[in-house]
Amino acid sequence: MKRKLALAMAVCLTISALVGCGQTPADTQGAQSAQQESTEAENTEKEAAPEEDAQSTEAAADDTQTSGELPDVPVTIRFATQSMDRETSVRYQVLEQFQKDYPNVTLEIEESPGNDLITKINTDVMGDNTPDMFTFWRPEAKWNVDKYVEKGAIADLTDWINEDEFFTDLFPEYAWKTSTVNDRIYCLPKENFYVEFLVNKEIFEQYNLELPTDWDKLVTACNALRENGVIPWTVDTKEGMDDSSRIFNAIINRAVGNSKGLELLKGNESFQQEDVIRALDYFLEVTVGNAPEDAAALDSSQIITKYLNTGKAAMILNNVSLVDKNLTDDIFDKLVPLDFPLTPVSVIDKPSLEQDLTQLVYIGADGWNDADKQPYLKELARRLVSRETAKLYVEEERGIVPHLGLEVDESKITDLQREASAIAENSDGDKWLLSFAKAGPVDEFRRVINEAWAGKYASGEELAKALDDVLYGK
Amino acid sequence: MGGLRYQKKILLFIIPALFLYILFFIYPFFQTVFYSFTNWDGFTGASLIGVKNFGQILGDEVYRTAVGRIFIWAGLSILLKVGSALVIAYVLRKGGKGASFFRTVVFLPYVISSSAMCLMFSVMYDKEIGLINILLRAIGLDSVTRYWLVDEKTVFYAVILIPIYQAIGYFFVILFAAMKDVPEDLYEAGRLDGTTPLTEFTRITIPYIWPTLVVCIVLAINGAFQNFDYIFIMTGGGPGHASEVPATYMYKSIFVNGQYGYGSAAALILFVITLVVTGFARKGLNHMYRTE
Repeated sequence: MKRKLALAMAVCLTISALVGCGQTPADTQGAQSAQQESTEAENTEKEAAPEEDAQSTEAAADDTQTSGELPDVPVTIRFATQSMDRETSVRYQVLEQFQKDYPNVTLEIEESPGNDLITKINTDVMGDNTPDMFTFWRPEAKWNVDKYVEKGAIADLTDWINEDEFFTDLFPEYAWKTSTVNDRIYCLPKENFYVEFLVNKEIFEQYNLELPTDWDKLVTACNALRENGVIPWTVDTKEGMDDSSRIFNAIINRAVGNSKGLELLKGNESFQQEDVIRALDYFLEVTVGNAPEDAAALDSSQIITKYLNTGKAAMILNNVSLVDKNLTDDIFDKLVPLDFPLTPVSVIDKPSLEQDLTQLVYIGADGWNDADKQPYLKELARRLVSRETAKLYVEEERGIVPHLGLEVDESKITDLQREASAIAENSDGDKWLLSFAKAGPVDEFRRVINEAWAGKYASGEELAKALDDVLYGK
Repeated sequence: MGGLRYQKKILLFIIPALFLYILFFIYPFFQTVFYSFTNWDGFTGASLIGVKNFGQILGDEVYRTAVGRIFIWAGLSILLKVGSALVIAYVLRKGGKGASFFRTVVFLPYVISSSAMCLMFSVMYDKEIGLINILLRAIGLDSVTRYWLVDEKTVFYAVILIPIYQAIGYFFVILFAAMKDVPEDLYEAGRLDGTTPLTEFTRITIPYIWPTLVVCIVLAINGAFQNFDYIFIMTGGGPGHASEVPATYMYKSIFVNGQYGYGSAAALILFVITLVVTGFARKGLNHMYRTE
């Protein structure tokens, strides 16, 4: 009897283990998500969103809603994105409204903070577990999206976009170009970025300095500010971040041109060329010793909060969405957006700046190929990139969008935003220099640039050699 | 003992656990071994490239330096973590007034999450508002103050101080329990023979708890060799590679650089180093106080 009981128990344990292991991620996540969603729904009900926001989101939904055509079948959609502030995020409002409109759809939201989304999506794609829909960066090698395409993990949206009138005149040509890989469109444009150059005019006035409208004034300002105990640049040199190379990119784009800069970062051209070395000398001239002492220990948000918002640092050149969301109301009035000056020897006539799409919507190939899911994925994608949602991004999140024909409530835009946008609109757009660089060498490139800020390289020649060591031919 | 031989049905009970062990440890391990000989990027097909990854890793100064760092970490862990825990456990062994309070205080940091500890220490290491620099300034050591996480000479030690400090409580509990088992007769006999507190500690306590102490030392070495979270949260291996350890090197290879095969090889090398070092440490230490 004992033997039989032991045998039966062992069989039960084995079966339990197998059942546990055999449960699909979707099942597990579904259970967790359902629980999470119900809690979230309760919380959301308690914390009713402002009426105006709710109306706006519903309006956005009305614009795209085609519920009559959607099959009434239970569907689960995994949606991966960067972490959202659920009280204020427009993205979350759209998702919430979608969930309300389609109770038959279980929306599983998978959030990852900041750049951790890259690791999350990479791992999902590696494990053939690509989310049904996700927001991500441009389809470029820097983000591994070329490999997603090669693996067939993301859906080819070309036919849908060409056939659906919703997309007619929605985005400019450059946005579609950026979304295209090998003549096929793999993602939908959602948000833009540009690099803005902001100067604290109050600090410049305090030290009788002219605003850095040309290169000499910029160099003079850097030196004078440093001598007066003011940190010239609000910049972080933290491991894995790209903020410290923004000034490098701007100088390379001016001194040698964007296309050559892209080739340099791809490792196709050597840095040890006369014009490049000269550009690197310019870079060292305005950066060495001009960053906060603890730049390596803080990220961009922390560095802005600690130095720019408190008036301890005088200038910043960084991604507009990153900068603006961290500025306090007090500092807004003290900042003035400027063109980053041309270098003494420059290949362009007027200042340019890096600008492109920064967030796009992708659809997983498996989800797309599921006949039940596809209509809902299309509907959700339309809502996320619609003109009405874009309006909310701009008005409520200080976001930048690529949409055509957008009528924004001017009263909801700050002067700083308006002026910075005007500069961006009037400038030629440069491609981000790291767009096509390979992941491994980029990591080392960041290290060298951070070392340059810390003063490790005495001349452009030394820096060029170090950059060649990590990039050229790699 | 020996009952298993005659009750083979008991073996059936290990099947579920064995199955899970094979599924989640043995299978991934051999998969990692396979990938370490390939150039797999995680996305597309893998091609066998022999021992190229191993050659590249061993030729990479960053990895070699990272390995050197974990040996330093292991050494300091044994010295500070196990050493402190041993001394504190010995002091609190006899109880007395406030002993239970101090036992709680010593153990308390261990229950705090690593990310919370990192956040706390990142503020403490700040040059302007950090407690450490404030204390240094208070005793006139202004010249020593710095951003401890920025200086390449100090960053690694600043980070590893956190897990070392935090785990003292864990080792304290283990060693304290072991010391409680030392028979009081031995101490009494020792006192009759004229032992001092020091000789009592070295001649009675240490030999008696030696097997437990060896386990603590092996755990400390293992912890140092495999630690990832503190370095990753605090510095990500930077500035530059100043606080890089094999675990962060491996993570970056796989998840940042997309070199799955290369990262697998780095993981395998770390596994072999850990296995060899802990194996030798255990064997060597077990012989030191072998009782007849």
